Amino acid sequence: MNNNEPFKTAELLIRFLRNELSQEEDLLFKKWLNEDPRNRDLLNRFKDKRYYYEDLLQMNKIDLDEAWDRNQRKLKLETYRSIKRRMLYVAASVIFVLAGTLSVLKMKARYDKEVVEETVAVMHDVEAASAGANLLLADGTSYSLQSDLLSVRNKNLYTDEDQKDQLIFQEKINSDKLVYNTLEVPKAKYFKMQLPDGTWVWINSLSSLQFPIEFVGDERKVFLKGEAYFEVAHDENKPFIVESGDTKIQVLGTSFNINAYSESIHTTLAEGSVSIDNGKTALVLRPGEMARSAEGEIKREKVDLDYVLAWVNNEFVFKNDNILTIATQLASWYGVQVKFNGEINYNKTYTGAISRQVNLSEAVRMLQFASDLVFEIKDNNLIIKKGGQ
Amino acid sequence: MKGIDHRKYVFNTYYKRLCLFAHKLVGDIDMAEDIVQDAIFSYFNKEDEVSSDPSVILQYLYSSVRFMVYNKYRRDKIHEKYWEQNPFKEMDEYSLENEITYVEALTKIQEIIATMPQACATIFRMGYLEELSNKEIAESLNISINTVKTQKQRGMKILLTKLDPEYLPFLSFLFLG
Repeated sequence: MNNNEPFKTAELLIRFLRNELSQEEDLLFKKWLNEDPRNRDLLNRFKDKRYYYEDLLQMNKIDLDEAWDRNQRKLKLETYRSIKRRMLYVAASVIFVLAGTLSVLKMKARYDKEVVEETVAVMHDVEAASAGANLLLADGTSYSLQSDLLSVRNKNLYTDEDQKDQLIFQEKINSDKLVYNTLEVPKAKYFKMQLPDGTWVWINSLSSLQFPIEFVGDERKVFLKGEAYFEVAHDENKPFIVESGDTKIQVLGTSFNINAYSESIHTTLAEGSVSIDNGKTALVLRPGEMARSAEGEIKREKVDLDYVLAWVNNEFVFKNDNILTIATQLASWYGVQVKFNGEINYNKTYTGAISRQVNLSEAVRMLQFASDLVFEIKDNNLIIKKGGQ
Repeated sequence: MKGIDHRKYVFNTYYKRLCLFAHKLVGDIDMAEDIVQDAIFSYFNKEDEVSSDPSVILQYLYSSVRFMVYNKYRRDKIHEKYWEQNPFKEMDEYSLENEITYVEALTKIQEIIATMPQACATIFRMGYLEELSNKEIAESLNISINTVKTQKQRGMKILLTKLDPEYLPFLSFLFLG
């Protein structure tokens, strides 16, 4: 390839279409145009709707997320096969990274004939969590939202039904008081919203966020229970503060996760910087670090961001987790009760990733494949037993 | 290893345009996607050997798509029937470079559309990709026709400030209409 030539020509072409060519560039462009009849043909493609427009549509139709998943599945499969080749099975921790989706399992079955078809007893399958939340406004009205998005702009609240903005609330009185509304995300639900300053918040199941229609005053403050991931819009003059129990997390503009399901509040920083204050101690986090704040103490540790942010990426990621931890996550995502039956080895740990979009039966089929446990789904119960081997 | 973020960035930035390029060579979008998947996958396996300069990566990927198309064409006996129906145009260097120029220019147009503010982009997309009239857009978004027109004009201003109406006819039609 003649190095940068096509890229430079593309640049000139766009500048020509936008009528932005300098005199010098104009000469270059004309020279290129007259150099070969094929070049004029190329320019003429932009006159023909059927040509360039069809191609734009074609590009738009490509599903980038699907393509990326395909790439990652292939990668996981290759990793699995090379690990298998090297016989790196460690007795204590079973690796099931490989089973990203059922289709991968099928593929794998084709490659490895020794894989026995796994069966999970299923009475009524349970679908993965869906988007939804309850919105309680300060004036007492409440809404049940089925969409996946809520945004606050100019003191109006919009939902995103069928990808269309729909106004559901408009503040009528121009008050300068800070009034808080509550968004509650129940079991087996997740939700995403945009705050009035442009900050994005992903809210996990069994969590709630209190937010105002407008950030009045010299700070932006919200209240969180449960877990949420924030991508805070930058505003030097108005710090963004998340309050959760005694802990205050303050930032200017950054991305971080807060897990406040238990008394111990975990704040993980993805980008930028945040400061954490619980009234007694305070510290500043660096990207890739997590702070545990409990009983007046704050401790800092390094974490794996993929692991902590797995839920934002719509994945379960387990890393040396025991079956209790795994079951707890399944229970809140699928909205089921977990029951353990008989002797279970809780010391055994598992490492791997599963898409959160699969049905419960598929998720446990993968777990069953990787463990010596047997799973049964019955009337919204997930029963976990020791296997027969 | 440059990490998953780098990989995702490379993938998201280059995948679509490489597919269009491969599509121009093989005439079938599914086959084009397969080829691009393979090309990017093999780049990920070799990323430490390739300079991290984005323009080098892009050139590497274009070359590797080309190489894979040639290989497929020459070796793929199973698909002989397919190739009979979809004759592969063995292009010379010059025509291939022109295809890259075209794909790169189209990608730039796409990128400009993507930089529009959301409300503007929604209206623009409805008008331009879904071919709805101003009245239909106004009704479905519950806004006035004037708002639709203003937003479209904002969109066009971002896309092509002083566009020659002879080019991109469908886009300029929107601008004027």
